[in-house]
Amino acid sequence: MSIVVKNLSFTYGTGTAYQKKALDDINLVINEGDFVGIVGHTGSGKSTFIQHLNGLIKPQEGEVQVFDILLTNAKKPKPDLRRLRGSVGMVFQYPEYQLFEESVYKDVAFGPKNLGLNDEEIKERVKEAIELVGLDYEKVKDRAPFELSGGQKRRVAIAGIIAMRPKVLILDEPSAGLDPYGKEQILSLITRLKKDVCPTIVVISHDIDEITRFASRIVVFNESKIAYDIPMEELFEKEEELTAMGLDIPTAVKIKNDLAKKGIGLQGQIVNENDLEKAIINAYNSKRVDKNAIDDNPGDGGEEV
Amino acid sequence: MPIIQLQNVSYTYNAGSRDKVEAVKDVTLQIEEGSFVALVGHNGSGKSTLAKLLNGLLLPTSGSVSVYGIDTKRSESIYEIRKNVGMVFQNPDNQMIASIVEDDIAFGPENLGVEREEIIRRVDWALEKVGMSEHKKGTPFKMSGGQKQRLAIAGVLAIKPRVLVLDESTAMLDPRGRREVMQVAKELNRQEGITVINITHYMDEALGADRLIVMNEGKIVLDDTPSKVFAQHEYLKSIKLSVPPVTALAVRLAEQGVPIDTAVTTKEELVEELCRLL
Repeated sequence: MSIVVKNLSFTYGTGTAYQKKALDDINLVINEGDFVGIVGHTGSGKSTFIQHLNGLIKPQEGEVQVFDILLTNAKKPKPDLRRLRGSVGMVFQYPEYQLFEESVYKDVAFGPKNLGLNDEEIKERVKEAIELVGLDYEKVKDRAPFELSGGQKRRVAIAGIIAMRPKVLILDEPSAGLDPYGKEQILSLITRLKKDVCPTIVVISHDIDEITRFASRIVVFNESKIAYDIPMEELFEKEEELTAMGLDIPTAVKIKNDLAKKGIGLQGQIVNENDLEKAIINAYNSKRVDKNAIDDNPGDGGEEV
Repeated sequence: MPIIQLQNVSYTYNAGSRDKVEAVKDVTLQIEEGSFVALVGHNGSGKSTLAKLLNGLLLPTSGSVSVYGIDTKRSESIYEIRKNVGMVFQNPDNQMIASIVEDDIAFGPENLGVEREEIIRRVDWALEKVGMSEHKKGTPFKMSGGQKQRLAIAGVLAIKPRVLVLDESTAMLDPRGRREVMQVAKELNRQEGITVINITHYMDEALGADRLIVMNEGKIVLDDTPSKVFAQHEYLKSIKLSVPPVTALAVRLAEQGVPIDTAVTTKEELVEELCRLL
């Protein structure tokens, strides 16, 4: 188990007129190798939640265990936050706004430097991270971040996190605001990182069509609580409940449901476009086989008595 | 008469210097009054530069842009032009200037010297048009992205523009916010006859437009009805654009031997096609 969250609650502005409970008794286990998609309407508590996972917010009630590091509201013992942030990498929304150094190299090197590594090790990690996010190290290392395109800047920001070699990577709306091409690149980058670098990934997304393309598990936040943490196929049967929470079900599931209403049942689990595509191809091919079978054997319809 | 006319317009950033970028190249274009136009192109295609040329935020390096026949280069007419062509930008947090909603909406007409009674009427009207009347005395800072963008639209409406340019105004919004903003834009187009130019990444937003203009490398490469443009999916892919998800699915199915009509653009059309086939 990578992350274990027990009875976690958090209230903003306690004792003021703006008091708001952002998390209410959250329990969640994230296993090594999980690809978790977190969905929820704006204000549902998901951002507050992920900020607990690398110690940006200290728990008020309950506890968060990340590998061997325990986070509670106790004053002592102090958790090793530096080690925690090396293990859990966090990519915020619009991370390109956080680039601040004069060169791409320096920006990506900032994290590893803070981990106290030597120059040799830093250089190796920076090169590796920049190449991992699909940029040409020699070409970009000396350029100013602001000279790059939006999608490239975002990849540099992600490289800065990757260079810390985290064991868990958390991304908040990683594809927001990018054009379709930039989106595709970021999404395939995340898939690649999951495979080669960082086995456990948590992604917050508003786009249910996008998140179901790669997540192995969806956790739904609603009004400061976890509303659902159940298998996806089961989850998307709850269209009415999800709609009431301001959430969509995937387009692929909607199409499957519309077809079912017209008497066409597709086989197998369908939670994303790939599933739908395969199911349609199968249905089409098997229908064609049936039809051919009938055509090839005229009279073999059982009329002969 | 077209409301906006671009004649051989080019725009170069840092003209004359080593790192000059030719963002818009020899574009000739007419926008008809009352139309709903979508403008798409990948990052760096020149679409946002084109948008800023429409109301004189940028002036063409060569060629001319005119609004109701007035050239944007005529500096004495710039207020007249900006009054006619209102713009809403991408980031909802960068466009609010007052801490109370009604003050924010009143900012535009105040600057134009509109008299008080008329400002009050316009603020009420603009808020009603974007469905935000109950937030008149509220503060913009606590609102959702979709609500903020609707307020930004109301702020523009209060100057009574004839053209509304949305420059990636939905890019930072969640799906609900996107729907809210598109709904408002469509209603303004239908009910008030306001010409809408929607610059967007989202192909499904382009679906409802009368006309879809595609830019690539500073030039207009396609200009037709959305369904005719989407029929060119191979070409769109080659210039880093996508077709709506439903069309993309139909194309993939066709590639694998399913004889489906790849001109489908909506979920309903796709389901109908599949019913025929399965």
